[in-house]
Amino acid sequence: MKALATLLGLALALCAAAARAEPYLAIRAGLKCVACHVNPTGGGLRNAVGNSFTQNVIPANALPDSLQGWNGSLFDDRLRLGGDLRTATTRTSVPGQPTRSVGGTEQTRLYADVQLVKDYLGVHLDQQVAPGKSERQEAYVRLSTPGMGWYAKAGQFYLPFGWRLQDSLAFVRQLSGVSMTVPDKGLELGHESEDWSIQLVRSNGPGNKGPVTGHQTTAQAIWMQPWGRIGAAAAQVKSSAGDRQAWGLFAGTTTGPVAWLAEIDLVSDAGYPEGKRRQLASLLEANWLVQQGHNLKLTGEFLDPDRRVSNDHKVRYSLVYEYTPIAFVQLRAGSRKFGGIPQNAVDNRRQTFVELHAMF
Amino acid sequence: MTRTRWLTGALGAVLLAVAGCGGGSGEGLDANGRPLGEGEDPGGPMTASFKSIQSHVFTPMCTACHAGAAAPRGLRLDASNSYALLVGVPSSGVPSLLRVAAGDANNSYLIHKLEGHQAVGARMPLGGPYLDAQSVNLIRQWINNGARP
Repeated sequence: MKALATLLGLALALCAAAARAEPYLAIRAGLKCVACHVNPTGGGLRNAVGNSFTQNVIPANALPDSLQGWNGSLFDDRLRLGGDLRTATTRTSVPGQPTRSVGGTEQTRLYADVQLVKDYLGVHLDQQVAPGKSERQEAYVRLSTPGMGWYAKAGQFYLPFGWRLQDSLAFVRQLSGVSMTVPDKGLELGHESEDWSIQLVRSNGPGNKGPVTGHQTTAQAIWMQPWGRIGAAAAQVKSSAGDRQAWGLFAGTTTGPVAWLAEIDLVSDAGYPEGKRRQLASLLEANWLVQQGHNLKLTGEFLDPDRRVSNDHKVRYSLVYEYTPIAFVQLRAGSRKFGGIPQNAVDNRRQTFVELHAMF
Repeated sequence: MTRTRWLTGALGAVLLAVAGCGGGSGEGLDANGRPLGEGEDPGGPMTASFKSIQSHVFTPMCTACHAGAAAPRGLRLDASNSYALLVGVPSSGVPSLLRVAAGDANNSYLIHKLEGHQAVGARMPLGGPYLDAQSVNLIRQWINNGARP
């Protein structure tokens, strides 16, 4: 039966799309990212607890007994496998233009984690296999103490900065330049304790490619409390294209069935032709647990692309319903409304989408 | 319980208040959200020239991410840097392809990304809306005509 469950999981992952990082789940459950994910900063491959959470806490219905048992682990947890698949149809309306619909696979990712020396030394891979050519997102060696009290990652990975949202197009992720679409190469040192999650990274900087040279230093600290958590992040880019500083403050809490996320990021970037730009982005998100397996997500976002210039800010509002009928499958449907200056029609578009997300 | 309700109400009110806000008025700005006179204003229809493509496509759509010191893959598509970083420069995604191969739109990485070819990963602009066929054809025309500045 385990083999059947494994095959079913693989089939789902190879035929659909997935839930990769949703920090509201951690807020709602009062858990740290590392409690459910192999990667201590969250996202991607789930550990045994994460797999159990995915099968027993998130979905509306339990899997049939015959399909239960998959926890992502093989060979006494020496090898851990996982995957995510997202396929969606999106309809976009831009004022003054015909409405257009686009559908297809947005993302298929496969994850693997090998423990070369159990609890101390591991290798982690995150490979995007669709759409398009296969691309490595994360590939690093991890040295850690048991339970990730202290760890070091060397290789290619996502930087820690603010909420690791599944929505890489959120203004806070766009402005910070840190999202799950932009990995970087470097060394990360981290510490996980009951109250704290701390990371310090020295990396090349995602923008320092080709003729542009430099490096990036990123630091983040999250304070865990019974009422929620609060975090601060900072990133400094030294670059021949211009230096850049980013600061972020973020927090999460719950009120009854609602899990709240908030983040505000400030950026000072000298990489623009006219000189330094100071920019600001913010996010406020409410996730209402309607009942088990049903989540209603409301998000309001604000972006000021140049604080020196008046009347240029943008907003983005999202209403998304997430239904997880059984483990490994999630259906999402939502609408996004964008607001910007009236001269730019694209900045005032509306989008509706339906998405199938499969994971194992 | 009372405190929870109060906090839920307060945060909900903030979210609703935020949801009532719209985008900037655009007063004193061109269509790219920059002060009037600072750059090329994309007035009129798009043509197969670099300046027109810059002001209709690169500046309003691509610079949301591809600008500043943290531009993905170091590709800055603002008006001062885009030409030098596009034409004749190997792509970092598929180094055998130039980002823009002057005279050869079919083998230009830029076209592959805009049209969403399977060999180059995610289609751009990431998350859409994607360019319509007419706009892509004008960019093709500019490249096939020699990709002049």
